[in-house]
This record gives sequence, structure tokens and C-alpha cells, in this order.
Amino acid sequence: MRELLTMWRDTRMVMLVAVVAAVYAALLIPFKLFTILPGLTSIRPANVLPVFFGIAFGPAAAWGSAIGNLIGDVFGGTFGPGSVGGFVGNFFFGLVGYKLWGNLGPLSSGEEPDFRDQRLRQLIEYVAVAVAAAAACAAIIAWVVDALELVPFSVLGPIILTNNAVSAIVLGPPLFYLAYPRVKEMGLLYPDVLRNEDLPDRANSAGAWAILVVPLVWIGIAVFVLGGAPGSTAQIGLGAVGFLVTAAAAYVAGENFSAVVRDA
Amino acid sequence: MSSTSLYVDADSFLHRLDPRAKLALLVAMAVPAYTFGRPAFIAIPFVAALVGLWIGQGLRNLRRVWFIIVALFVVGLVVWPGFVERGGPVVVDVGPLYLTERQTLFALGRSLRITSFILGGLVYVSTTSNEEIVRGMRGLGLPYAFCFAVGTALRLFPTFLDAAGTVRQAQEARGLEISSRNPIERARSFIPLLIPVFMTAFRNIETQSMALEARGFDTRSERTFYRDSDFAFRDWLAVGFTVAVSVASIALSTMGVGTF
Amino acid sequence: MSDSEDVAVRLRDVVFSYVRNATLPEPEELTGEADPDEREGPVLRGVDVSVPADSFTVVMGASGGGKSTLLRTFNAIIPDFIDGSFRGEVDVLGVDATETRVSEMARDVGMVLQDYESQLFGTSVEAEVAFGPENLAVPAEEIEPRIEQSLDLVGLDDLEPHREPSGLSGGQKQRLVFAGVAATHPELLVLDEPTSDLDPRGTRDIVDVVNTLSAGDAAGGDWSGPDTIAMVTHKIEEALLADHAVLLKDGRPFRSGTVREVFTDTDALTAARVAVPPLVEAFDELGWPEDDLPLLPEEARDRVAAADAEYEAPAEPGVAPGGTGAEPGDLLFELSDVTFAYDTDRGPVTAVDGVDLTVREGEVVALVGHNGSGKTTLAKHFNGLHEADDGSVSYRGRPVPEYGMGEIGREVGFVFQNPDHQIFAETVREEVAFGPKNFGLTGEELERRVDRALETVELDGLDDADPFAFSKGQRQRVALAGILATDPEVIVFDEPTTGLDATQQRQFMDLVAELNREEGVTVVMVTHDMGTVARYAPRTVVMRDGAVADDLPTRELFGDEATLAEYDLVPPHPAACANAVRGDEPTALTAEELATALGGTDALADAEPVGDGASTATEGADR
Repeated sequence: MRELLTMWRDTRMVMLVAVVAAVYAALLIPFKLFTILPGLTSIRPANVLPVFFGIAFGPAAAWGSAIGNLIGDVFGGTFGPGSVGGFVGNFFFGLVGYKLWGNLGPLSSGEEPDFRDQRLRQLIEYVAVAVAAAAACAAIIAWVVDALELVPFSVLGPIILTNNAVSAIVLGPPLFYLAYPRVKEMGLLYPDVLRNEDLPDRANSAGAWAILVVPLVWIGIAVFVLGGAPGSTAQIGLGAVGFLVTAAAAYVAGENFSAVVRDA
Repeated sequence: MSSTSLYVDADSFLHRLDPRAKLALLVAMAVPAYTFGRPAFIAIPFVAALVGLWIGQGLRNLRRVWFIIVALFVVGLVVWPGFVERGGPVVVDVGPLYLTERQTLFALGRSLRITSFILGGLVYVSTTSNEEIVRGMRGLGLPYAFCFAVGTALRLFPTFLDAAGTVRQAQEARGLEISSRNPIERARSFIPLLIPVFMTAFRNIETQSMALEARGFDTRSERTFYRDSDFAFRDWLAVGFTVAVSVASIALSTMGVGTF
Repeated sequence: MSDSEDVAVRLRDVVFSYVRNATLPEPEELTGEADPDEREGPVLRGVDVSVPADSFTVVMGASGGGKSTLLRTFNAIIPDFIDGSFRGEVDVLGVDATETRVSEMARDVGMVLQDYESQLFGTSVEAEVAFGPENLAVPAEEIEPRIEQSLDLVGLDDLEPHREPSGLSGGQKQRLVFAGVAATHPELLVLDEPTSDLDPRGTRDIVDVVNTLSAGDAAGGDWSGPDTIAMVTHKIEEALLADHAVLLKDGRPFRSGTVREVFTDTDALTAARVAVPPLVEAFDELGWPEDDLPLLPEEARDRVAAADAEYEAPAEPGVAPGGTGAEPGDLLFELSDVTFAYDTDRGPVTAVDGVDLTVREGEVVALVGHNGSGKTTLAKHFNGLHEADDGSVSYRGRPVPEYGMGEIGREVGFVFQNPDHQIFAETVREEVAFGPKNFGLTGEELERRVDRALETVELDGLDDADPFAFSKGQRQRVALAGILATDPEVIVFDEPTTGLDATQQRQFMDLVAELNREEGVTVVMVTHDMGTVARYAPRTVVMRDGAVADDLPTRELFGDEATLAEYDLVPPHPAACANAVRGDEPTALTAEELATALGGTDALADAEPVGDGASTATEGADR
């Protein structure tokens, strides 16, 4: 996780954070309304961005997505205590991509996400990554909003999960197909921008798997086992455990994407 | 573009407060809205937020976001009764719809809470320019590089919003239609919009980073700050007010006042 | 070296390639010509050059020829920031720039680039100017006077200091960039095409700023301007601000001397693929002595007077030099009382106000006017991108809003200013096919149209290339091909030549002219470039404050200095020269026409040099 701090030393990474945030915010706002109307599930194009940015820009995407969502709140008129949840949730939305791609053992295709060779295997890996990112984001936001006793976890969690995952899965493959090789050509992939000593020195697929499984289990328990009125101690406690385990898993997982890029 | 920002360029009392003091006031509004449950009590921060919006001349922003606020309010009213024990007299009993007074008040309280949060945030946004937002963050001790990224994102974001509008026109002129019934197809039709916005944004990163360093930007070296916020007496007053309100609300609500 | 005091920058044997870890060729391998299509090879190929201290040096050369790359070694962007392959020595103000960080160089070297949007980082005007000094740890109390001085220097002192930069015009933004750089008090200022993205008014403002800076009277405190300026440009007016010029060819300095010497050396310019200034071209053609060719209209006028040459009508009235828009046909567009307002927070803002206009088949019409005059907004009515709030727009007798977007889009193509706002597909071919496919074309017809469009823009054979890897000029042609493939009757261009260099501009516009001549495509173009208007549009519509201020033959417009002054338009140099000497004859719009008009009597071929150019040149060297 050191890279999340050391990346701030690099001018290009700082600039990437700003641009990721600005692009994310610019695409979030026109579709603002759909986030808050339960039942109105819509494919919001912005929701694919943290996954794409996450894989391509690594730590810069985590910070950028978090800031972009915050700006979306500020300019969209939904800034408030709930924005803390949005900030942390979107941080993980952007974080999961680079922690998982190439790091899921047999589930990983071993390819760069350009959807050219081994398309099916890449698609399987991508769906896993997108679902994991969407779930981590959904669980964290629903947890915070539930704890603030604004909207019950069992209502908001599944909505965010579905919205995030569906648009990420539908838009991801064409987006990666067209944009990934070009971003790489520009030399902006995080393994090319960050110095080697700033990259995590490990790749642990058990950690990566935990990032995939824990938030889903967390949402499952929160919705189907606990359910009920928001602000309950059980719900808050479950969230605390879920969040800490996910964060720990992110620490343990390191990253393997830079190795995938190097071997390509 | 002026049309993207909710900031109102005026010189009200709230505009003159230090951005950190305004964040404190936001807390002063959020704590009672959070600790109390009964609508009559949450109405106080709700009204306070509206008054703040009036003082800060931000009422006109309601035109832009009223729909979101109303939607959140209605959603609260609809969702919450399902999560509360019934009690008290029956208010509605039409077919499957059966609501007691307790459920209704509870839901109303929650709707007021969420809209108070939004309105409070709106006061902050209406009275704090981007420049002040970033300065406030730095005043809170956040690292410079982070504050810089937020400031630059705020500066770039309207540019991308404009670009997105132009891209949309350009593709529509080439016959792109984003109205397909099939949601998957509809989503895919966003690709010709996303890619140009992306690529123009990322194409510039190299130039921007170069321009940054050429201006002496280096997060590893010493820097000075031309204008640091100074915390005036009125700012301390705002903080004092926040502490008082927060302590009072927590104390009262633990005693059972204003809760269910 | 003992003379290092007199040299601001000295490069020795500098070789640079943008490819990481490349094996750089040995010096003896770098003697031949560079292959312009070779993207992988070194861009700087053994550069030995020095920029004299206290000079204003301008660097010229073809697009992609290494001008910008050269300037980037002056503040250690190369090799510190850009991760390519580098070899050689760079000495800047007594510092070994190859061993210094960019942020360290920033103490003494300031840099301004073409794209102002990429150089603004502040959330307010004041924060923007303070940013550089803050980075360099200038004490806070010293920053305040620097902000005032710098804003004053660029003429933005009347701006509200807390205003956000995003609302400023392009020219104001670029001036703000200059202010931000000036506030760091650089000794050496590096300018990379600082006006290329600006309209004429913005350009003039920047030229004034550069002038003030180079004169060294940026009043205030212990800093009065940079001692040395190095600039890349391809505009004569700007180059003439400098005193010393270096021409690059094949990644090496090819010719250097005073600006006047270099810009009148037609052979050297041609060899280096740099556009020859139009008056130089005309007078060279007329046989004026090579060492005395005029660069500016006044100089040309003096030469005509000295030689006592006669001026004859250069062309048929009504015909554009480009041979375009010759015979207008049926009525295509009829706009009557068109009014359009944008919705903003502060209520509607009227952008187009009661415009009446007709366009006939086969015409080439230029829409000119300053930023904010409503010309682009008006242009977007032609294909229904905007719908008039009041009044009507009809195409072939039927109101445009009655056509579906698919219908009108097929008839009327719109080429946007920035091709990057529409290019998305993986290959050139798919990109070009996008429009026609949306309009329902398939199979062989689609393939045929795409083939033809690619052939027309001379990109055939590049079907499978990635359009993002292209140069700006090529990307603009891809965008045009995408419109051509829908086989439109009319094409509307919004600033088609912005950001292209002279060669690319000419190439692009010749293509447009050919479409008009050969296929009768009607052209409406919004443009700032008076050279383009003069050459290709027989008719010009001048917009001011949302209304049509004038609608007249281009030759009349450029022949009437009073009218031009009223609209704040600057005619192309050949017209300005012709106007001074033409009497009652119609004006000349291009270098060729000027040569024709003055060439009747051979008076210029036998004339004695006037010599003011030579004296200007020596003046420059003393600076």
C-alpha cells in the first residue's frame, strides 16, 4: 500500500489523479439523479471509469476516483456527511483494479486487458475484477450511509452493486479494447510511470481473492442475514470487520499487473 | 463556465468565514440532524440550513438541485416505514398501504435528516469558491500534493464537461443516436462519446506535467504559501458554536429528548 | 570556453530520441537526411548550437523537425523529465542542464507552451500567478508585488484576482500563463509557439507581451524582464520581434543569422520545408534582389514606389485565387431573422441576433468575426445542431428542424475545430465508416464511399492505422474523410486550420477547394485565418455581436482598409501591400496575384535595392 503514498512524489501521477478526478466528475454529474433513486437501475457510463482507471493508472485511480466522486457531490448538490462514504467507497472502486488484474491465480488470463488475445479468459478475469471493485465500493458506501441512518444497507447496497457492476461489465470490454493500447502507447500505465522502488514488492493472490470474496460476503450477510433497520450495532460492526479485512487484503495482495505489462 | 459551479459570488457573512469555520458549522448542523430522530427536532437544522442558504444568497441554487432534494425526501418517506415497528394511531389504511403515526413520523424525520445534510452541503458549496475549498483543506493540514490535485481537478473539470458536450454534438452530427430501447445497446453507444473525452484528457497529461515541472513544481522540495487563511475571531466563534450545539444535541438525545 | 559569459545556452553533439533505451547512432552516421516518416529515429541529430546571451533567438523548421524538442533541452525537460535516449552536453546559464532537475532549472528558465489549457493549474487568477513563486519557495511577502507586477505586465491587472481562470478567453488564458511564468523572474524565457491556438486579437495581445518582455522594461523591482528569449514560431510577425534566427533541418541547425536574412532566404526556407512569407515569395518571383526582399507590407510598398512599378488588375473580380465558389447555383440555405440564446445561470445570453442570410449551391462562404461574435453558434444552425429560438432556417426550401438529424446530417456535414473531439475508432477505416454506417449505408456502397473519402484526403493505404498515432494535420483529414464518406452536399467547417502549421493548413484547404471545384460541394467555413479567407472564399460574411455586420465579396472587403479597420480585421500581407499602391484597381489577395499585378512592366526586376531590410538586420544584432 506504500505506493498509495509514494506516488505523490511523481508529477505525472499527481497530474493523473487530477485528470482522473476531473473526467470522472464530468461524467458523473449529468447522470447524478440515477444514483439516488432506488429501483431506478440505470447504466451510468461513468461507473466503468474507476475500473478502467484502476487497472491502467493504479494508485492514481484510487485517489482520483475518490476525489472525482467528491467533486461530483459538490457540484451535483449532494455534498454532505454521506460524502465521506462516497470518498472511501470510490477510493476502493479505483483501488481494486490494479490489485486484482493478473493476481487472481488461475482466474487470471496472464494477458494485458486489451481484449485481443484470449478474449474469453480476459473477459472472465475482467468480470471478476469489475464485480470485486463494484462490491467493495457498494459495501463501503452502503455501510456508511446505513450508519448515518440515512438509507438502509439492504436497500442501497444491492442498488450500487448492480449499477456499478452492470455498467462496468457492459462498457468495460469495448473501452479497454479501444483505450488501453493507446494509454499504454502514451506511456501512462502506472508500471511505466512509477519507479520500480515505489511499486509493491509482492504479489499475493490469496490477498487478491480475499478482495474479491470479502465484500460480496459482507453484502450477502448485511442484506440477507441482518437486513432490518439501519444504524444497528450488528450492521455497523459487520461493516467495520468487512472494511478492515478488505483493507488488509489490499495490503497483502500487492500487485501483479506490472509483471503482466513487463512480460507482454 | 459559470453554469457548472454552484458557488455564488457574493460578500455575505458566510462568504467571509474561513472555509474551516464553515466546515465546523456544517458539523453543527449535521450533529443534531443525526442525533435526533423526531421531525420537529430535525426541522431545526433543516430550517437553519435554509436560513444559511438565504444568508449566503444561495437560494437560487435550489433551482438547480431541487429535484434531487425532493427525490431524496420522497425516497425516504417511501423506504423507511418498512424498517420501523408499527405503533400509535393508524394514519393511512388503503389496500396494502398501512401506515401508523410512528412510522410516518420516523420516516419524515429521516427524510428531513437526509435533506438537511444536502442543504447544509449546499450552503458550504454556495459560499465557498474553489480557491477557498482548497485553501481550507490545506488549513486542515492535508498534504500539499493532495490539495493541489483537488484544486487542479476542480480547475479542469468544467473544461472536460464542455469537451463532453462538444463530443456529443460532433458524434450526433455523424448520426450517433443514444436512445436505443435496449439498455445494453444504449450503453454501448456511449463508447464513441467516452473515448474522445478520455483521449483528449490523457493526451495532455504529458504536456501538463511538463508545464508543471517547468514552473518549479516539485512535491519533494520546500515551498511557500502566498495566502494562508488566518482564523479570525468570528471563525473561533463559529467553532465555539459548533461545540456547544454538538454537546447539547448529544446530551439531550442520550436523555431521550427528540428521539423515538 | 572563455566566451561562456556571452552565451546563454550552448549545446554540443546533442542526440536525442523519444524511444527509451535506444541505441543512439554514432555522430558519423548522422550526417545524411532525416526521414520525416521515421518516428523511431532520433529527433535531434547531433545539434551544435548556441544562443547568445541577451539575445532574442527564434528557432524555425518544419513540423516534427525537432524545434520544440530542441527548446526542451534548455530547461532540462530533456533529459530529466522525458524518458528518452540522450547524449551530449547542454550548458544553460553556466549550469550543466543534463545533471539538473527541471524544478531546479525553473529558478532561472521560464517556459510557455502553445496549449494554454494545459498550463493553468490555479483555482483563481491570483493563485495561478503565485503558483510558480510558491514552488520556488519565494517568501510570501515577496510574492504579492510579483503578482501585481506580472498581471500588469500582461495587461490583466484589471481582472478580479479571485476570478477562476476557466471563464477567461483563450487570449486572456495565455496571457495569464505568461504572467505566471514572469512571476518566477526567469533569466531565460523559452516560448514554444505561444500564439498558435489563439485568434487574431489574442495573438496581438501576446505579441505585445513578448515585445515588452524582450525590451526589458517590465517595470518593477529588481527584475525587468528576461535577459534572453528563445522562441519557436512559424509566423513572420512574431519572428520579426527576434533578432537572431536558427533554421533546423534534419534534426540539426541548417542556417542561422538575423531573422531577416533567414526569412528572406527562399532556398534555405524551402529546403527546410518552412513556408516562405508571401511578400518574399511575390518579390522573389518578380526578380527583386535576393538580399533585399520585403517582409512587411510597408517595406513592399517602399520597393514598389522606388521601382516606380505599375499595378494592374490581378484577376477577374469575384473569382477567388483558389478557383473556388466560382458559379453559385440554386438557393440552398435561407436564414431569416435567426435568433439563438444560450441558457446560463444569469439567464439567457443571446449569441445570434436576427440573422438573415442565404447560401447558394457551390458557394464558398467565409464566416469571420471575433470570438463571441456568434459565428460558430450560427454555423451550428446549418445542420440542426442548434435550433433557432426565433426565425427560421431552411435547406432547399424546407425548414431544417423538419428533417431528422439523420436526414440533414447526410446532406450537411459539420467538421469540428478539434478532430480529437470525434475520433474514437480503432482504425482509420472504421472511423471514416462510422458516419455513413449510422446513416444506414452497408455493404459495397459503404466500402466504396470510404475508399473514395480516404483517397480524397490522401490517406488511402492507411486504412488499418490507428488515427490517434497521426499528426494533427492527418487527424483533421481523418475527420474530414468521415464527413466526406456520407457524401454531403454542404460541408460546414469550424476553424479548420487552427493548430495546424502553414504546410498542413495549405494542404488541408487545397483539399477543400478541390471538393468545391470538382464535386460542387458547398462550403461554409468559420475561420480567423485571413489568408485562408482571401485564397479560398469569394464571399465573406462578417459577424459582430451576433448579427451580420457585412456580407460582401472578399476582394472588396480586403481592398477597403477603412472597412477592415472598422471590423478590426487585418488583411493578408499581399492585400495590404496592394492596397497601398493599387489606385482604383482591385486588390491582390495572394502572393501570386500580387506578383501578377506588379509583374506587367518588369520594373521590379531591374530595380535597385532599397536597403531598409539590411539596416533593420544590423539593428537587431546590436540588441
